[in-house]
Amino acid sequence: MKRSLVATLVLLSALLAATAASAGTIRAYIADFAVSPADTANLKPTLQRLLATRIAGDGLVTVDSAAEADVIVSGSYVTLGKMFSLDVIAKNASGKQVAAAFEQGESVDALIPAIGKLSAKIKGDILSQVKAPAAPPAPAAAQVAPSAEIIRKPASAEIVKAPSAEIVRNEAMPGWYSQRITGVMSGIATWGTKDVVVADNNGIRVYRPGAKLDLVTEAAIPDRMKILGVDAMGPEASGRVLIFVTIIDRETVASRIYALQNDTLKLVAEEIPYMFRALSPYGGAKKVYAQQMGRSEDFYGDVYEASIVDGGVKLANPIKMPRYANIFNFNMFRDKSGKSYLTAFSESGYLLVYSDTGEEIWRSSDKLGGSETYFQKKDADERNTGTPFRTRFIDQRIVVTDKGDVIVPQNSGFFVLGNLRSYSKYSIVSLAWNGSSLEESWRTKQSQNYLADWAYNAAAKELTLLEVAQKGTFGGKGGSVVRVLGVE
Amino acid sequence: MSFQKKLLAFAAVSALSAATAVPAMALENEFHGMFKFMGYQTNALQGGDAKVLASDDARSGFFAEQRARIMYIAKANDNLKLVTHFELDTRFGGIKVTDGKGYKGTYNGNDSGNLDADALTLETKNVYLDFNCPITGANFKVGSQPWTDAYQSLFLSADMTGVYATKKYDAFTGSLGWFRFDDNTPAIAAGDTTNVGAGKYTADLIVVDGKYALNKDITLGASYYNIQNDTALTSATTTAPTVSIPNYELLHMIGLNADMKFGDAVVKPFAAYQFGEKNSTTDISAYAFGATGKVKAGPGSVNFAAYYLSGDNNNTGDVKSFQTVTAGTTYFNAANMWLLQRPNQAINTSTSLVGNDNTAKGLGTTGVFAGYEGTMDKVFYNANAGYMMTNKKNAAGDKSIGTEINAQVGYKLYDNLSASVAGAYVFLGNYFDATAPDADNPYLFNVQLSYAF
Repeated sequence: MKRSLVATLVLLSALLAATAASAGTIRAYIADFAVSPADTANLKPTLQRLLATRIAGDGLVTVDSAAEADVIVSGSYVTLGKMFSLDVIAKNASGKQVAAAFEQGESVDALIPAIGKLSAKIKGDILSQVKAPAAPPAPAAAQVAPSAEIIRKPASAEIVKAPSAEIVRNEAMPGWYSQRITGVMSGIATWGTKDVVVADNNGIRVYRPGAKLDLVTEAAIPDRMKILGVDAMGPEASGRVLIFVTIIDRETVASRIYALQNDTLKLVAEEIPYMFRALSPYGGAKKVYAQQMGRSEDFYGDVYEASIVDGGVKLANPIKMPRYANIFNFNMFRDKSGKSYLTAFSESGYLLVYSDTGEEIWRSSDKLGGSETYFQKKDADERNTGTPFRTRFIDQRIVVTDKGDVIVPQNSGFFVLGNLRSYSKYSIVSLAWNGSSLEESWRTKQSQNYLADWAYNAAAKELTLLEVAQKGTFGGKGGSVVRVLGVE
Repeated sequence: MSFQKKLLAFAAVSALSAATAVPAMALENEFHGMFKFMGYQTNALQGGDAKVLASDDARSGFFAEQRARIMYIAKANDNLKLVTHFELDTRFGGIKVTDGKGYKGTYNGNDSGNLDADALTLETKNVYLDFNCPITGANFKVGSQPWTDAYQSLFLSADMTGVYATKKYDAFTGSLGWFRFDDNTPAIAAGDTTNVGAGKYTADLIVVDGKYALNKDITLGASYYNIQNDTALTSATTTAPTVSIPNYELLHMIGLNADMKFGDAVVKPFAAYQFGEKNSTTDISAYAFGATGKVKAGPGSVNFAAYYLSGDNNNTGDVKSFQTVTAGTTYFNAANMWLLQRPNQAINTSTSLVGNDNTAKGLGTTGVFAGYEGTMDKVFYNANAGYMMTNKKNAAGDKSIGTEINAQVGYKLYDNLSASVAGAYVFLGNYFDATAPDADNPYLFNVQLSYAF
């Protein structure tokens, strides 16, 4: 009996001590380090971890996200010649700088001691400058009243307003949003005006944004067909816009070209055995490209520049696709010296850079791109896979700006398993080539939807984003949203 | 440098090397899998590989079964991965203990469909390393892996242990493979003076395969398969195995195949010739040919398929019967049959009227099949008809095996989940008259739930 009493008391005091300790702590988030030059990029997580373990303690704890932090600590690691410099800045939740410190050294041997000194300095400053969030006052001990004596306030009156420091306010998601469009849309294209064409499995629809998206015209495709992509070229002098719709019909490519003129869609050509993609290589003029589908390879042979002559497709200037690259997932950029590179997504979703000889010279550490659009061919080994269908996903567009920056989407989500993909959030990421790697220059705030497709208007510096707000479920058609976002 | 400093420097260097090594060491976990539920109301299926019944007063019954497959791929990078593939088969209610009609793992009471489940039903299907050689650029698969012939699986489609190399030169793709599908050497017994270790009595398959993409629509292929079977050589000894798989010593098989698209039609013709030695006194000279195809028509496609396997009905001179490895490792999925041929959708119960033996015990068979399939949004459907006969008369002088008609309609509940119902009926031919003169025509109704990712 005595033992259990002692144990109970020990537990209670430990609990009280813990409560008291947590009352006056400052929560710090250690952000990613900026490192330079790029070949030391692998140090990012190491520096972040080293600083986090050393800064914690004495009333300061580290947390996993900026959202729950009182202080955000960001730092940089720069090497010039043999010297390195570590610089750290701490800002409070409202963005005001509260502390700054630096350490420098001559070789990597001095790095860990430098982090130790730096963390001590910045911690001291933070503790003296930042006031820990006040702990809620302990409730006064009260005699328990018989329940009949208690008059309860309505629930709304019992809500205690949280202090502003407890709430991390996000800016409203920027950009223009359309109304919800019924259906899960898979493709979008623009042609320099505000109009957009979107595609789903039923056909294409042209919309005009105003207060909301107004349907201008539409064209349906037969049930058996599936749209893999939609691209637009124009407008021509006559005002005509050509819309290239890549379609797969019973395992073979049977694309269509529509002409949009005077708000009317007219079928120009159908059953075209080419897959199409319009893009601006090197950030220059937009061109439409074509590639064939083969019996032995899904993406057969070279990618060609395509033009429409008398309703037929004329091919010119072939581009050899290196491993993984195909009509849907490639683009090209140049470095400052004018050297040409081809960039594409790998099957696993990494962004690759190939030299002009087709050799892979860089790949991203993070997965980028990611799409739920696919086609199926009935050539799987059913004895092994359990399904006769082999699934091949179409990847996201890669855009190259006139400055040579590479812009790609990054879909991520809770569930990407085998051929079952369900992305749930995305960002748009801009990367710049520094001679040896593509370094991130900016990214949009993460949105809570899957990005099905997107377009970039180079003149207006605008992103037109096709988000799937609700996936199609059994008995439901799902919903999509068009968002327009300026990036400069 | 003090000890502490040295320790710190060591820690820093270790941390840096670990950080540097991250991209190279990044291991990606990839999962694939499937689950299929099959329910049958039938007077013909016995469950497992036991052949479709052709008997008088065949009783109709309902049974259900399921199969799950889990594939885990440990992907070190785009050029190196370890592929593992496992299977779990179950019949609802389990299979009776000692019932030999089960399928691989699911018999002798070893079936988690029994009351209170808890049975050992995890089967290893494949375990192999798949890598691209940095020196030659060739792709290698080493280990227990799936392999399928270029002749619609009429000869062999199986999981086997071996090494398979593939290299692409522009439009040409060449493959070279060696599979050891049987090592029947007994362990050296105490007192055995022969000292014959593992690898002495074996059956091996050597594969040389080439494919040339003439253009985007036409791919031509040629192949040479060689089977060297030493397992039978031990059958005279008392300690050696008595089963010889396959039932010949040496087989060469050369063949040509193609995959051609003309407008809306795709045709895949093939032909192969076999020669070799059944044993030291009897030679083999056999052949097979056929074609499968698909033509777009209306909202769907017309499928057709036909084959001919040479046969023999006398035991004199050379063996003229087309040879396989075992009946259980042959298929003709393009037939789209449920009873005449083993169904391509089958799971645990996977059999046919001739017990998957398309050689019909050496008589050889001809099959002609046609059907129509299509989709309407999330609905898919197909209907097929087929006829099979032996190429040589059986002992009673009959050849016609039967004619099947079948149809299936399904709905895609989700991208990866579909539900369907199917029915199949066979008008038996006179081939069975001698053994089962009043046999009922076999039929089945199938309900299926199929999930794959």
